[in-house]
Amino acid sequence: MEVRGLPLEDYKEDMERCVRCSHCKHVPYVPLARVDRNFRDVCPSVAKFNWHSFSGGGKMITAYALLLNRIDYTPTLEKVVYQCQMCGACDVACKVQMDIEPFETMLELRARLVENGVFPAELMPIVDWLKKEDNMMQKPKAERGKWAAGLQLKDLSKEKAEVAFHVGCRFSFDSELWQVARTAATLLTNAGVDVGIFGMDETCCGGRAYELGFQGEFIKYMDHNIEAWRNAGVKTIITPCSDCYATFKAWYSRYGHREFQVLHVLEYLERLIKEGKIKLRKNIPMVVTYHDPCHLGRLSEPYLYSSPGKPYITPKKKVLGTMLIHEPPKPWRRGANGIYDPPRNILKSIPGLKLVEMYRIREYAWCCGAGGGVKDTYPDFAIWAAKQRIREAKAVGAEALVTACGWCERNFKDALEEMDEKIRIYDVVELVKEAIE
Amino acid sequence: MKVEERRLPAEVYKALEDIVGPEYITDDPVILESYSFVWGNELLFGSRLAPFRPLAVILPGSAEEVQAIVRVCNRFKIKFKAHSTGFETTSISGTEPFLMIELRRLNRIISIDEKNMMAVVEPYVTHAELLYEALKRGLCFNALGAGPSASVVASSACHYGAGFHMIRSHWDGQNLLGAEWVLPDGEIVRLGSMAADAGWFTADGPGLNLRAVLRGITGANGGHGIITKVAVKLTPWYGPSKLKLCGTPPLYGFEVPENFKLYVVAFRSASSLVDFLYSLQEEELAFAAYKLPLGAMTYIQVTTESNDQAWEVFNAKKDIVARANYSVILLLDAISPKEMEVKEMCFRKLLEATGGEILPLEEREEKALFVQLLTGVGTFRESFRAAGSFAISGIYDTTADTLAKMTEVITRAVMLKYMKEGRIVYSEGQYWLCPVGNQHYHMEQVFSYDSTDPASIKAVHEIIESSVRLMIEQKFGPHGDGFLSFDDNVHNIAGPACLDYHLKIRAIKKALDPNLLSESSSYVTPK
Repeated sequence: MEVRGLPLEDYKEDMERCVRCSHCKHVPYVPLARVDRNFRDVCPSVAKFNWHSFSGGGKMITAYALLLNRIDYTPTLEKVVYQCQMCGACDVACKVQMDIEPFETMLELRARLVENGVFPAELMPIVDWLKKEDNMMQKPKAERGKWAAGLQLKDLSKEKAEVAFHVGCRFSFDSELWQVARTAATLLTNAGVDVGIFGMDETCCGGRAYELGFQGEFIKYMDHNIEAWRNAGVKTIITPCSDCYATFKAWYSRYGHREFQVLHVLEYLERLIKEGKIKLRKNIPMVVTYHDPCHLGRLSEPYLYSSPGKPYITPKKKVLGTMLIHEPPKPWRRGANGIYDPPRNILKSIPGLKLVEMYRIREYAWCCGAGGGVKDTYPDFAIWAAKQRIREAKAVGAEALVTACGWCERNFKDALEEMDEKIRIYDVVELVKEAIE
Repeated sequence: MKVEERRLPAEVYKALEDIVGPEYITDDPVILESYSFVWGNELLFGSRLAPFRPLAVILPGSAEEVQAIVRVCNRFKIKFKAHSTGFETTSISGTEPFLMIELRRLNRIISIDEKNMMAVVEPYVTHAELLYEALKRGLCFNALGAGPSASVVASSACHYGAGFHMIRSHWDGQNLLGAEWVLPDGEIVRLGSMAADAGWFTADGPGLNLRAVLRGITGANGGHGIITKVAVKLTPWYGPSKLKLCGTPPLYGFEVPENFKLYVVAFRSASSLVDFLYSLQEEELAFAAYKLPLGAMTYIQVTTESNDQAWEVFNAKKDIVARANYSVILLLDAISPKEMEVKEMCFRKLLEATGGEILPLEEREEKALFVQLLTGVGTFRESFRAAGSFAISGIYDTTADTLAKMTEVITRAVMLKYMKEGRIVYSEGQYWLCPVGNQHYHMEQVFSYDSTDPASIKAVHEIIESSVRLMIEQKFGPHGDGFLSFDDNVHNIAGPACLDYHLKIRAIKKALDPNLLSESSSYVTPK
């Protein structure tokens, strides 16, 4: 089996095909028609730091320069590569027109930096802790299952179940967010779902390590989780965490693992609401807007062309002189097939609640700012990005900003503490709970 | 790969830093790399990365800061060049290290004057942004061939400025109504009526009219100073103020408004196509119309999600491809159903008279082509996604039949040789021909090359030079510049046959830029 991603060299052709058009900086130029000019940027990195290097295209050029030995592994290189949420918005904007892979190139660029020992110093204790305690939150492993105290859920370390409920590091250790995990698990069990958890034995999904460039750690956790699910007889993984969702759905599939059904809890809740197994009766008179987490949206598309142990780029050949095609045709990941409608459908089904859309939505949503390790390494930048989003929510008249990711919710809450704005932050699950009570 | 290392002297860096603050200037090699790379650089240097980096990059926040930067450059004799979104070699490359002035912080739409149908914008305002703001007010702006990310200032004041609905919107150079211009010595000049403090409604005075000096036909590509604002003409838009978005990435579309009709029509020969375009232009029927440069392959590329899908459609539609070598895309608009009825009747009569055939379009194709015509989104699919790189053997503006004839001559005398050698990809009839207002036609003879193959790159240079020589010999002039003016060679060939224009622009360059600091390798060198 492949033990890591494709080498950076395999993306050289993509780098050479970048034309420096700057499309990667803005909302794609067709949906831009519905966007207020104040919110035209789609890449937090270049919006904040301005230099072209910080854009998706700029990172393609940076990677190219590195391959050609034109630049060294310097602190500036580290900043260019890591002052980025890896949100994938540049990838969507670029691939409207081009057949190249900016996001994958950026993943491999980070891996190359890690190989050479160049990454923010703040990451070292986090990764060390991950290796020791199996979580990204620098908390003792023994505290991992606390969120589920008193819920009477099956313990997958000892019992078998159809569904594994994987809450992830953020929901496991951020006690302010426990309510989301507890509510979601309760709703599933109340609906008769055969669900279990690993509790203290749950480990990190490995996704954040992957996006940080620590691909070896990612592989370790991927292998562990797959083995654990197999041993527990699990068929379906449900998670309330968008980061974990993208990891299971996209990054694991990049390594050929598509044997488990992966669902975000909102997909399941939408199904239960449609089937009448959950009834939302309580009126919530509130104007809300929904923030698409990158990992639930554009980053969550599975890789459909990989298999264990086999390369996951289909062979290319030239036709009509210079046109590069794949044989067999490559199913591109362009952001269209993320999870966008289930959260919106749930919100629309809550009596009295009015959903208004922000300008940057779905596959061209603005990132909350927390992704790619930025929350840990450049917290001011993370907060800056979150503030932009909160301002956008206010600009469309929302009283509450609703999301479906613990990392987004945490970052918005932290940003709001520094702002003189009145807006409430929710996870969709919290509103479902409120509408049931 | 060896890189020439040159940096600004510390004293100069400090002087510049004092203008913009430390946050907005850098000479870090990692950052500078991204300003050394652009499509077309391979034609200059054999690689998309230039063999040198800028001396530094600076981001001014106002025209006054631009002026101060230029004055520092003059004081210390530092070459400089400005760019906006930084697409195309001419916007960002030079032949030696210079101070790169990125104008991304100058991004305001200053005003849109609905009554006088004009807008004033700063350099980092893109075509798409101005277009969408104009549509909200019942107005429209040209969709550029370089795509929606291109700067309005760059296309109207500094570069060519050809687009997809020029039959209605005209080309950007013609739409320039005024400019705020930081001359190479740092003086700020405001052209046209603004110079007389009368607002920016015309470049023809009262006040200076230096439009011909400022841009001429092809633009100076940053070769004589920095434009910090332009006033541009807008045209009427009869569609809705809010277009209905449809589709998913990458094929986003707009619903074609009810009062618009889109057609692709094929002709048996270039002469029939030209006759049709003449009639169409005379009757003023269309919002947009042009000859598809690659025939059916153009719209196959524009309307497909990937090269893989384009190849599949190409093979499925080989019959259409075979009969669509000479084909025109057009968009009719009307302010009432009755007017559309009349326009369609006229269009069909013209078609009948010229032997044209309407090609079938799927709904998906129609929506994507509408987007392409209105905004230019899609151009990259045919030019870069498909080909990797493309070049143009010549850009010409004159009558349609002359242009069609020119392409035939260039094809026979120049292109065929390189096609047979496999150094470029080109097929007969491969050119873009677009009516401009009711005046003339614009033509670009496009071909693909392999940006990683030195033989293919050499072919591009030879084709451009040979084409220019041929056009001069055959008295086709007057302007036969390749779209990338790599050096003075093209001017030196064409100038003597065209009223020695090359001597005149050199004289202008010297007059405007006494210290010869405004990087002008994509314009003219003051030899």
